[in-house]
Amino acid sequence: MGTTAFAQQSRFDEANTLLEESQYREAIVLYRSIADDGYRSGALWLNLGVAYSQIDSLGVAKFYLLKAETYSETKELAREGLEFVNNRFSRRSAVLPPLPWDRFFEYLANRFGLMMITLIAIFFLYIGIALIIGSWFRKDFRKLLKKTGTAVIGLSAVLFIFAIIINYQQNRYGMGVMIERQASVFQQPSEESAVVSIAYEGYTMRVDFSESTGVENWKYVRLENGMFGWVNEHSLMIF
Amino acid sequence: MKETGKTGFFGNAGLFLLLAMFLFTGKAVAQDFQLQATVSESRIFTGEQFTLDVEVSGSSMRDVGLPVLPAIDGVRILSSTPSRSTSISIVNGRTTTSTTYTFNLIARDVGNHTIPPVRISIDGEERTTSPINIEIVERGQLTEDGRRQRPDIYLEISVDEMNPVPGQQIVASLNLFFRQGIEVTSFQPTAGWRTDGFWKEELQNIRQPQAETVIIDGVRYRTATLISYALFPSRSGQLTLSEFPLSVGVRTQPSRNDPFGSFFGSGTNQRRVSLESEPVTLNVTPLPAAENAVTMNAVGDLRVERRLSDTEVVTGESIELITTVEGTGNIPLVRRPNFNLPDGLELYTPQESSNVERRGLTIRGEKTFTELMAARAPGTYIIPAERVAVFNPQTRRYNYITLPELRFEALPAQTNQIAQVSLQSAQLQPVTGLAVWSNSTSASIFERFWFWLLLMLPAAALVVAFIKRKEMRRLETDVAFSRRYYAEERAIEKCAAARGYVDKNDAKEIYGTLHDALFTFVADRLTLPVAGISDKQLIEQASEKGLPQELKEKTRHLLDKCATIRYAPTGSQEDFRKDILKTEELIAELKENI
Repeated sequence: MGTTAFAQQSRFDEANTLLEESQYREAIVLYRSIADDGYRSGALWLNLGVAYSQIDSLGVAKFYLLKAETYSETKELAREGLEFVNNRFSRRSAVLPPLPWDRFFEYLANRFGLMMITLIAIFFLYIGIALIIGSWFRKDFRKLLKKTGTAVIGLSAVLFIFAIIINYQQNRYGMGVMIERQASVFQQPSEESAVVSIAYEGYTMRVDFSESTGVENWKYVRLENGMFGWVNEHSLMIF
Repeated sequence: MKETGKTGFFGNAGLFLLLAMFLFTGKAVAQDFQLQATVSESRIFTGEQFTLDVEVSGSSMRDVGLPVLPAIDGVRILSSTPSRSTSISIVNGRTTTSTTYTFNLIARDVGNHTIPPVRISIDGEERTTSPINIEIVERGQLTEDGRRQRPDIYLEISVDEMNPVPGQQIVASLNLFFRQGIEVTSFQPTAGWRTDGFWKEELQNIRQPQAETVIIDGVRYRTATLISYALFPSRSGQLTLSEFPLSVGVRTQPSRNDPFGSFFGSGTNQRRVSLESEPVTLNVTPLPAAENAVTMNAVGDLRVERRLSDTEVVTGESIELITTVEGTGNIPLVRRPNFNLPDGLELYTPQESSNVERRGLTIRGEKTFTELMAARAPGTYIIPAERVAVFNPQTRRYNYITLPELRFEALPAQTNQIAQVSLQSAQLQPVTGLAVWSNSTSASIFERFWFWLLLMLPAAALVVAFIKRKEMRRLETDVAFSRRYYAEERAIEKCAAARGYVDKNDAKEIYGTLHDALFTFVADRLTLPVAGISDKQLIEQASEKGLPQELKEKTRHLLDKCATIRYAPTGSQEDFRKDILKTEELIAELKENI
């Protein structure tokens, strides 16, 4: 940890003190300055979530708690916080269960992460290639080495495909949290078009970056109840 | 409209006789049966009911199937199964049986239409009637003498406003017109009236329909309003009320020139007729935009009020914001107003109730929207004033109603609920102390250099291994290649062995080994036989295979020296080492050139 790292840690400590003294807005300013400098931490997101929940910005609080949930060191605390925040929302969305393959890739991404899956795939690739090369020079184990090597390379290829799919999904989709009290979800990116649904504070939704490209101020989203539509991006926080 | 049947026993021989009889009488009296289709009217009004009779008559009872009526352009078939009546007459000892099948039809589209042939099975053979031409004319179409023709009984839908706005109530009345002499005994609406784009409410008629006398185009009619509906257009544009189907029971006086009318019957003719009104198209003009006001889709003479259920409430307990819309208008279609509410309130599912009266010709009543809220923290909550727009269809303008500001006080709670909230708040604890930090890196793993390097390494290893494998296979199978490949290695080994003899001063072994090293190296590199050739022959063959002259001389000189000293060993250890080194250098040189 270098000098700059110590600097943001000291700012973080200072913000924590403000938070404990119930100076929530001041603490938020300090926390956000750390984030603006490019530093990331589960503790930082968790404390931001706590601070926002205290000033009754539950949508923003949920956003930061969801971010904190992705860090192993703050996962449990973030979950407790999310439970608390979710209980305070007056409206809840009906939730359509995600499709099995979506759930599978989401599990892989959350449990292992893209980096880990890719590294495992590379490792298996190395093992497989080594076994194949071994089969060329060891006549006594040729069949065994060749079959094992082929199988391991196949496994590696499958893992690579998973990694590519996860990478594609991560690039294409993001998680959005509604931070306004309520906002209309429109059929088209225009307030003149038909309203598909109403999204309330704290609703989470999948944001399709690919579909939203080139459309200013609007995001194409899939609500938890399975409905699709356009939401004004100022109503959302996305990660 | 007649179909002649088979001649039966006449056969070919009686054909002439049959033709003669036909020409003589002008009728097919000698035919075995007659098939005939007739319509009750050949000129019919739209929406008017008429009948198509298919009559089969003959001198004996026959096996006659039900006639099959095809689809008819411009005409609706009320029932594809006809009613049937049979009569038997005996004239001059000859018995004739006649069966008539009657189809009920309703004229739909104006124009000339043709009723296509009707198929019927008689004695197992299929017969068809001749097509019949009919003309369907519009109701009220002028006759040649300038008067309008109207049917004896018809339906009409009257609408009190042909250019309404969305949400405006209009009244559609179903009026029945019938001539003097017709008595309507009952009526029954049948399914099929489409009011797409309208919200429909049937108005409760206070009294039974009363018939009034009117004179239309010089003809005395009686008319009665049977049913009234309140309609609310839900969108702008052209909206159409479809044909209204109605089944009416009528009783008519018998015709005066019907001699049997009062003799056999009761003096009246009672039947049911099916009627349809003509469709009505309305032009619904869009609502103008309301200026800086909350819209509730309220159209009519409506009042809007709102109030709070209390002015003080304990934190966590619910308080109600009640908005009431009351008056005459589109009460069922009024939407919940979307008011601006202060932060810090929890909102629960809003409630909605309405009380609508459908009596007379208007829809009036009251609709109440109740927002359930709970203050999260103590303090004063202010619900700002709002301007609500209600469209008045009479003046075609919005009436703006200003709802005053409301406020209530949230007192600190001492209830279990708040204690529970506090307990939950206690669970939301921040993380303090040292945090695990990372820099924000958004680059995907696939965009990093090291990923592609890691991916290339096994590919490179694979290529190298492949080349090596190929080389090894060649070494195993290609002797010449193997000799060339190992030539230097073996020569160096021999030079090293020669160096081992230096300390022993064994000149014979040293030069013998050096000779062998050099000779074998040249032979291996040029794939020449090792045995059976002399040094001179070796050099000559090497020269033929491209050994440069300078190297040729050097090689020959060294081979000669080794051969000479081997048999007359002389020299110091220094000389031996020099010669070994010289041999190694020559081998290296030769390797570059052969």
